[in-house]
Amino acid sequence: MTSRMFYRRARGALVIGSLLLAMGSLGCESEFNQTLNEPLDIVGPYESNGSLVYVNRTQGELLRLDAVKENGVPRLEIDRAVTGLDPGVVQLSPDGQTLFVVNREDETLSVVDLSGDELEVTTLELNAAYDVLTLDPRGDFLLLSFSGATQDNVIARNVNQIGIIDLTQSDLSARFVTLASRARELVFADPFELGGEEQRLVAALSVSEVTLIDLLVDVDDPENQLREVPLTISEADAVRTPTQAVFDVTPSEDLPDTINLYVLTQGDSDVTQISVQPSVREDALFKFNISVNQLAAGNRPTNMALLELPERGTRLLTTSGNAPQFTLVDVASGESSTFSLPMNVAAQGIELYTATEAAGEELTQELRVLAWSSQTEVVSVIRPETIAISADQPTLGRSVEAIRLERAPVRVELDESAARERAVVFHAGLTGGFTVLDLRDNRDIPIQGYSLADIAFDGQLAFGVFTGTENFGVFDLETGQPTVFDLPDIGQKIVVDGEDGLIVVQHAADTGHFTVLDATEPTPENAIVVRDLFLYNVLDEEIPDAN
Amino acid sequence: MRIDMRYVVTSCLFFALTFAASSASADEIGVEFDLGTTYTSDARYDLIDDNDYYGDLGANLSYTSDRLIPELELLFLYQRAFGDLDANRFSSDLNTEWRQRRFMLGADYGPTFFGFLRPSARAGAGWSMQTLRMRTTGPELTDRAHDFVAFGALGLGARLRIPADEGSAIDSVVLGVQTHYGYMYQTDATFDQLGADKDAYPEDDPWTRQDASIGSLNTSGQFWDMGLSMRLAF
Repeated sequence: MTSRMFYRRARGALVIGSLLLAMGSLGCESEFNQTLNEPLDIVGPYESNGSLVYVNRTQGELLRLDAVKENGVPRLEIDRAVTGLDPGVVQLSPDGQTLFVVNREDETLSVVDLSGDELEVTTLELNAAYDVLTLDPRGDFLLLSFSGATQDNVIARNVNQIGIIDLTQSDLSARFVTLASRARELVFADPFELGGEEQRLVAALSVSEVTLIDLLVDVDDPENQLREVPLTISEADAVRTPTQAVFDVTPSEDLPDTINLYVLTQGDSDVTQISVQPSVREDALFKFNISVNQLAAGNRPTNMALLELPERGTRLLTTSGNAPQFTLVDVASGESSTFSLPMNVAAQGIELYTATEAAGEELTQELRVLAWSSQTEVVSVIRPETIAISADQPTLGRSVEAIRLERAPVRVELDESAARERAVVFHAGLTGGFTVLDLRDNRDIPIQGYSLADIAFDGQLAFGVFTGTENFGVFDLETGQPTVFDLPDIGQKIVVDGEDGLIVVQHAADTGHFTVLDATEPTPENAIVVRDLFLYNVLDEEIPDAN
Repeated sequence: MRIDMRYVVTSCLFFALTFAASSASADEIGVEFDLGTTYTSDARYDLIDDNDYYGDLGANLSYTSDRLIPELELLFLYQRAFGDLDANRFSSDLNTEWRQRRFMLGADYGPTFFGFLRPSARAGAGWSMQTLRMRTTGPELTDRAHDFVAFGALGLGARLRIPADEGSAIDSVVLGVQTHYGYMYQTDATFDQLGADKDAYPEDDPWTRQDASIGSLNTSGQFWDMGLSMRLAF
């Protein structure tokens, strides 16, 4: 090849190469991903089999943190799974095996199986971005509804609609029904038999109306699928806003083949009893006969509990929102009596628990109710089994007892690991300390110091983190004796992983800071500090673009 | 093992000058300064930069000898990223500061037309060092990544040869301007050992801290540069 030819070819190659590069550069510009400028919005933790599960709404993903010990050294393992776009409301199943996430942008539901080593996500198409998830306590059904709160980017939607998903099916799908008015709350009835058939009912609480949703009826039977029960005679009447409802599906000799729904309405002095019986007539249009009754329930009740008392039958207990009073209602007769609480203000919250008592050589169990208010340091313990409705005021110290705390509670948490016979009372302020309540003996153990941010129980020990200070406390629940040392940062949430013998403390950092401690010897020497776990391998993730 | 790049650059300069000085005539040594832009095609780059590109500042040493291949320049290239390489992300929950330096050996070939116009093709490969500093809550975390880097580019330059005075140690001085357009490939830089400085915590700090990891960054992409050069012909 002559030098002239070589130059010509080289020149040609240069021109062609330049053109190719110029063409390749077209379209290589990409828009900036605006999601990266959104604040980190992470919800959780949801406790699942000793793991902590979070949903990163900003990045549309689910994170599972599992504390493990490797050669005696604790560490955190992380798994992640992609949800849909713009995750919203999240709900964990009662058994902790499944997490449900509604994705607002693409109007889908992510069903995440947490039971295996790998996270498995199934996606269901929805017809709207529902923002309330109500899960059947038995785990058989999931209901989707609307809170009524306004959302950005919503052009039009029917807020009276609810979605029903039968979780017992292998191929999950949602069916949708429309109520006459928006469901403010959905209340599941436990499975029961009526007319010799298995039944599943849900009560949808709406303004001046309750709709009974029959979950086992097909869409092609609309009359029986939704049964509307008005709470007022006319819509012109003053509205009745349901605040609480409870089903009673326990078979009763007094009312055979009948189940009841009790509905508490805001500002009223009665409870609405909705009785459901199977239709007797063969040509009946409806599957159930429904009757409504009003039960006097004291002075504007705000809390209600259904009590199955072995000696006295089924009763409703309500506490007044106006006065330190409680009312017991015999649901069979409708008879009710109101009694005083040993407090000077109305009860704000009630907690049910079963106390075990030694009667001779035998242990007996008794249902009790703890009533408390953030306005008084006195909490009341009601022993409904010992109270006869037609009797006089119950004896203080026997049927109703009082425990005087050091400070008024702001929150009461019953310890499930101690069969709800122990409670932790959280107090207001930075230095309010907290109180351990022994509900078996009605004894309180006040712990002076900083207020608790969170507490976790492990047998006779409790582990706590405090508000506004970096301390970590180990408490002997028998003696109340605390052992305290510093964490690297202020703790916010604490979880005990009993299986691995580890304690996970989440610190107050948006990017996810954690300390993992050995539960048997929770000292800094046996711990590891992990930072920025919510940003773990963020560069490797495909982050949805908010453009 | 971490190598201080100042020593590498100084050594390369020393060997290039020594080699050129000991060579026969028709040799050229030169230095080239370029200012350019690399356009990254990976969406992940958005995490550390508001733009899809970053600036490059380059300083290259070149050596040409007729005893090797005429018109072929051997290159030692040093480049560093510059520009707004700090980013606030997730509403300032995450602040990053990214730095990059590249050290490469390469070759540039191009015929000269009309005595001054020089289209060329160049290619090279070497080593890239990237540093990422990350601030969230708590002390700043830092990690460095070391990666393979290679490029190929086409260029166009103009050179003006100025003869030196008789008896001078050099034959001529060649001044030039040049521009290049090509593709820069880099292996993913993995930032999985983001840790705080030793003095970030008290000496008696009893806690064991696990390094943070934010994954791998790809900064490959097309680039464009232009610059000035000066060569000495012996």
